[in-house]
Amino acid sequence: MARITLDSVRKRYGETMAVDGVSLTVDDGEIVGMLGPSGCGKTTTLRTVAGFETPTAGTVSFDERDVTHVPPENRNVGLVFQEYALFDNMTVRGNVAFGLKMRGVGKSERRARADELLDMLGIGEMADRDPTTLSGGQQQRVGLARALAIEPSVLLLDEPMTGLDAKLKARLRDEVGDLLTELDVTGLYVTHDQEEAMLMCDRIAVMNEGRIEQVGTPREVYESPATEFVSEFVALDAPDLPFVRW
Amino acid sequence: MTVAPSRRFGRELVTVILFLTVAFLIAPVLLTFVGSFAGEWSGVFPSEFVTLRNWREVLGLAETIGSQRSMGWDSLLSVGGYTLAVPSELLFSIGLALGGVFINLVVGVPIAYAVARYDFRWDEWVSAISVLPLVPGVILGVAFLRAYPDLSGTSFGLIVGYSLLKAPFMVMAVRSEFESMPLQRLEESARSLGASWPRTFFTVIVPNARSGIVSGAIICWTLAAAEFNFSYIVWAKGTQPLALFLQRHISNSSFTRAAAAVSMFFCIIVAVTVLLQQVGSRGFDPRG
Amino acid sequence: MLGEYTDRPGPRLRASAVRVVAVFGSVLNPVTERDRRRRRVVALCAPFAILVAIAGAYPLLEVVRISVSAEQYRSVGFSLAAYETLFTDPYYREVAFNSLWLAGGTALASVGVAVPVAHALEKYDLPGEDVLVTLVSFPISLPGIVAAFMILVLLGNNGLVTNLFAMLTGRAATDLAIAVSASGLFVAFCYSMIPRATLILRGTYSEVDHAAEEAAQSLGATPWQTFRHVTFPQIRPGITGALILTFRTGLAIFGTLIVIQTVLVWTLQISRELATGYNIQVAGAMATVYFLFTFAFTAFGLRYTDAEVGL
Repeated sequence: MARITLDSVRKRYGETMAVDGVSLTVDDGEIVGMLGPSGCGKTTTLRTVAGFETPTAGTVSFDERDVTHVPPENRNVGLVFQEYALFDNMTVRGNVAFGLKMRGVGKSERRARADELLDMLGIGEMADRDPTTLSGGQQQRVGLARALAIEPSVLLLDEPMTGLDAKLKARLRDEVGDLLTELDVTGLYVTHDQEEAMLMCDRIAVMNEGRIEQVGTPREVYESPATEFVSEFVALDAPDLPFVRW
Repeated sequence: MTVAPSRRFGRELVTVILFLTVAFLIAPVLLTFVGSFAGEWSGVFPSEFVTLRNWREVLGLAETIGSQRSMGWDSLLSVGGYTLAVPSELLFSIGLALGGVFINLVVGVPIAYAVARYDFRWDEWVSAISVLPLVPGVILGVAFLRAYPDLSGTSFGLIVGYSLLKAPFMVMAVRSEFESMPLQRLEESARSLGASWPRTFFTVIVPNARSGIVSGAIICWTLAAAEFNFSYIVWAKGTQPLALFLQRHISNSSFTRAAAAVSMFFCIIVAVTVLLQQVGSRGFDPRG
Repeated sequence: MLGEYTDRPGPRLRASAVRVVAVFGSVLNPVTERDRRRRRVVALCAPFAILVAIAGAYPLLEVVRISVSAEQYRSVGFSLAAYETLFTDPYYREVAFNSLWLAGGTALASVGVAVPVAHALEKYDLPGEDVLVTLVSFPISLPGIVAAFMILVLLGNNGLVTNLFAMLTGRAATDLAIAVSASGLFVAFCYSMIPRATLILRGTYSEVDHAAEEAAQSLGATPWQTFRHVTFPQIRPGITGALILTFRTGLAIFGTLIVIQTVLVWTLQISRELATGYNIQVAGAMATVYFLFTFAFTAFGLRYTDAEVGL
């Protein structure tokens, strides 16, 4: 795991400034949520950390290393998407072991580590299944195991719970929250759902129109919003208290 | 109160048109197949059943007048006095069409991916050019004769010509498969896991799209094997492609023998269509 | 000195040259993810571009070149003699006219049949619908020569329909056979085109909004009124697309004409120019005119109508 630093990152697409001077540090082992309405630049920010977008200006560093121009495959980041994006041409185990295979890890070791992760996520018995036969929640666990298998410097989660039903969401939220804490993962968690951000993250960055409006613990953001936008966005259908982590 | 005529007869009328159309399209196919086993065909229906003579003559298994129009046979291999022989036109066409399909795969799958996955300048033009068969076979034939006078009639010329003529069908089939996949997410997942972009393309993207690729290949193979216009213009000498062999029979042979030649072609098409449905028929659908 | 030609390019020229060099540079030696993406797009499009250049663009250019050559077999000088022949000789005018009415007429007829066929297949709950779809699609894989043979089987001297009529009317079958005539050719074209038009229209029909149709029906519209005012406006792009496709198909048909040689059309004339005296200049001019016409027609059709692209 590593400390992630974004320094005055800007990303311009033609005339539009998608990200307009974002500076943020995610400490080692910390989960930071990026919260904001759609189109606020949170996903673009996540993509610059992953390496799928090169910033127009500014730098991205992992610990002391400047990775601004390093291609995604050499950055060692884990990605979890809302759409799962599992590889249907491989078994569940093949999916989880894929990253290790790319790193030249031997077959038996790959297998052992994939099975260990699948067990940890409670889907150990699914290892030989075709991913298309799994339920949505199970597929998302496979996606998470696949991303964790490479022991990423940072785990990037892009709306991973969106699209799951409320009950499953609540269960997965608790389980995944515990797992991430246990593994001491550095994470960037993008979501538009305040409740999810407050329950899963150590700190929250509220974004609007390409800028960070406020960074703070969930309590700080909720109780003393820095700007009018934050107070409106966070207060809007306020989550049921109590929060679990502050 | 009167009932509107379209409420009383509309549905019946439309259904009748459907069945008449199906009859118009399929009746001659069935009749041809039945007629290929007849000894005589004059009057409403063929007669003198059942004979395999027409098939034997077309396949070059019987010596008759006009047998120069039948298929030649090439011996494929000889083991201990037994020779496995195959009809040479059939083998030749299968080979030509396979060559065309091979080129189609090499050019069609990547451009289908480019159009389905990326936004780039001119992408609408690239997309239109890759799926529109702009040059018809006859025109391409003339162009080949002029540009490559020595090569155009050879197997190589035929293969290259087929591949250009049929490429749009490959691109269509593969693209509609790609468009049904979360391409960007798949590519990004694989690359974040450490796979370089080429490795991602070959180990994740292509295997995930295999059903579209296979059905595209089968469609292109069928169309290339049946390609007549281009072959007719450029073919000079030697073994004939299948479509020219068919035309030779349709224009010159007795009706029953022509029926046998056409029926043989139907058998190939049906076999390929069944194969296509096995791999999940996507390709003939224009939008996937 | 060679260098003098490149000595002082205007500032604008220099700016665009710098830009071109920059694009090439970024493709060869990418720095940002955007450069790498550009390189990937170039790599993905390259094989297709090479095939189009070798098998399409270069041969077509050669054809255009010979069509304006001053000599018959070599590309030298410049002469519009071949085009002069094409545009002044009434013979070629008639050939062009034949092509246009045959393709246009059969396109209209085929789409006219395909609309009710697609309607029945997509809207009605018919028994064995999958089989019907397969049967209607089957002729797509048949080349023109086989389509012509199918018409011989139906309407030729030995044809099923011919002989049924002969039996009913007592006239000789040979007097009733129409396969080898302009009308026979018309039907043969339709045989090739109806399945393709149906394919496109079925695709369009599957996207029709059923709620609007049901609403119209519940407001008391007759089935015909519902079709006319609700369904038809929605399938219009499909109809335009099918017309463009079938018209282009009709112009390109050649094999059918080799079997049923009753109407002299453009493609058949091209092959005759080659067969009798290898008149590559006129054949080249005809090919050029044909290509430009279909290209312009297709581009126009896609640009100025709501048609959907199709094969």
